Amino acid sequence: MGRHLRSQGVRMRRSVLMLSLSLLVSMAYVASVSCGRVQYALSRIRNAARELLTLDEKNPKRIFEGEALLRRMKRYGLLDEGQDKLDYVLALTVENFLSRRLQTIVFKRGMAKSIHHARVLIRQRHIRVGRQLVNVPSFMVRVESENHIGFSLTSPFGGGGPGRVKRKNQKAAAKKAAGGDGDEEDEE
Amino acid sequence: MSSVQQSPALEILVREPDCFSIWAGPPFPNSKPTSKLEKTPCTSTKFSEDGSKLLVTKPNGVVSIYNCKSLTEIRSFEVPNLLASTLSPCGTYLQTFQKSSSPQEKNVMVWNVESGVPVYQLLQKNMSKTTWPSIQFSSDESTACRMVTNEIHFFDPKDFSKGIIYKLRVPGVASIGISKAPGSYLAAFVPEAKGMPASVQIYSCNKDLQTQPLARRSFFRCSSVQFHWNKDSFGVLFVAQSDVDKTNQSYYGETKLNYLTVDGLHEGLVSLKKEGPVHDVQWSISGSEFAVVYGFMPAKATIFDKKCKVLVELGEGPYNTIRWNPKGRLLCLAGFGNLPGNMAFWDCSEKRLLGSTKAECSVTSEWSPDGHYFMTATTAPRLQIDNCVKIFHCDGSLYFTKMFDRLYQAEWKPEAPAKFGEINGLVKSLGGLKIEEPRKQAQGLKVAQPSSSKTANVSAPPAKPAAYRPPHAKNAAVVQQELFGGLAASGSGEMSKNALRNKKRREKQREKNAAEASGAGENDN
Repeated sequence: MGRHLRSQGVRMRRSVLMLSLSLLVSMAYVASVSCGRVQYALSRIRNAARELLTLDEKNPKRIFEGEALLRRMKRYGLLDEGQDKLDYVLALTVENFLSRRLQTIVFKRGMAKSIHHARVLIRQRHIRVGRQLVNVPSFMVRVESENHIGFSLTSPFGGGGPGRVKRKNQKAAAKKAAGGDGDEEDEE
Repeated sequence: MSSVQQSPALEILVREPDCFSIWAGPPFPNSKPTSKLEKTPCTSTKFSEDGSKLLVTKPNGVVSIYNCKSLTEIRSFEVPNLLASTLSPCGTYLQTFQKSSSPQEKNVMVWNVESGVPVYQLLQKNMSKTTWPSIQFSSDESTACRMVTNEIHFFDPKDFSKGIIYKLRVPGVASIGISKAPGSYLAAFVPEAKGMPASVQIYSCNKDLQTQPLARRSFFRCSSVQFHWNKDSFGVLFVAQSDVDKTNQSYYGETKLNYLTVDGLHEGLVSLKKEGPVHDVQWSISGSEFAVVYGFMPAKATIFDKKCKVLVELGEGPYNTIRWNPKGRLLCLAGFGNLPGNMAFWDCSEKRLLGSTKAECSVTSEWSPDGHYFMTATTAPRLQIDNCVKIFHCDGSLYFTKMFDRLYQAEWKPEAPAKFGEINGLVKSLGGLKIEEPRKQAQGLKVAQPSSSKTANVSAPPAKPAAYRPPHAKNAAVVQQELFGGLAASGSGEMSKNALRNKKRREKQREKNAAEASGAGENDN
């Protein structure tokens, strides 16, 4: 999706300016670059749907590619179960896409204190989707994986041992206690 | 009522200012309830969970325990400075909390009801929602435990003199919930602390397996948790509430429904299709499914099985309460509190709406233990006027109502649902009440009329004053439908509401144009 990023740079920035103010405010955490990336993806999908809609109803290309497009949209949670027509694809917005990012979903599910905290958690390797640790805030979450998002097993939040900072502090405290005045002090 | 011998009679406890009385339950001869126990002075009353004993607090700190079968007083306790008292689920023990007059005095006492002897005492400074009752029992009284800072103490419910049998260390624990029956698991909630997320952990009550939690779930944004254990202790549903909504969608904070199974089959959020708070969640009496009412109003209601898969969608409506029928198949969805009191009775196995009615200003609502009747009561001190008791049949038709000057409490005497016969016969006879699905009406466009959608859905509501619809609002039917939601089990595959409304509007516009055009003498299609 983002392969032609650099060449589309100017076009994207202009179209980002066209985004509604409310969208920019609510999605302020998302850099304008990824907003533009999403817009680019959305416009390609809309073009595909529009082109398919010009074909005849029974055209095999329309049926095959239309079904595939709808299946992809439903798989990523952009369309609901009941929306099984190509017209609904044309009604998709940037907000739909942005709300399927791992960062928003981690926040919405209560696993992070704020949306910025969600990004930090993801980047700092605390979140796993299924069994796989995901480090990327713009990971598009599929509907079937949505229920399997949790803290990773090695993370201190998910039952693993204490993290690097805590271990360092514990070591320093133990060292201080042992080498300080020779008293037995158990610091945990 | 089904003719089953040896099923216990129903009883209703009614408490008015200063006294209470017990009525013999429905069916009432001569449409009036007969009194089984005449007015007896009291300040508060409570049945034990299994309905065998009745706890009556009298003024001056006297606590009496009545045997519910004979309605005679079996034991009376003198407890000065009594603040609160509660019975254990099987009625074996009484816990009382007294205001401590001296710092050393142990102010929580556990009495054995049969012998009248205090079996255990402890000191507790404060009483709050999470710390009363101090000693919590499972429903079959096989486990008793108490939460103190960072630890959970277990007692042997058969013999309190042994004291604390073992301790479980859970740093930071704030509230616990014992599983009901069998009482072999304990769910503990540890709130957020210093960057570590809040967590709910399930421990086994068995001492040998207690080193590690059986299951755990961590999350942020939560200040308190309510536990709902399943009947066979398969898993615990918990509602995590927070006072501040970080998503800025609600002033009242947010709630999330999580499900944690003991064997680790499911741990995480229950995926709910609509955003908004979780108004109510209840396990069915058999424990194999649970119903949730969630979302901003009009709320959606869904039934899930115990593996967290969707069983039935019950549509949307102004509901915030769920009451499962003790015999299992029926469900009452109701909107009490600040909602107008709509009640809808559903048959879940056949996915059919049995009937719907209204019970305005109700405060409490409960099914009868045999499942035939549903009683709602308007009580003081929440509502000071219109105190009454209303009893409905399981299809929503009103059976009995009585007004009171002031009513404090009205409840059924609890009985095990297994003691009563099935209600199959009753439900089959309601087969004639088949409700047309509003979905069919929506798709038969020209046929949809406001009158038919209303009469099909509702059995006997009070007459609504017809809303004024200006002449150009020809899409009255669709607007009504949107307002009151689809009361029947809506499947998937409806046209989107907007598309539908536009289509209708276009049709009506075309009709109107045709009428005008032909009126003006021009030719039109």
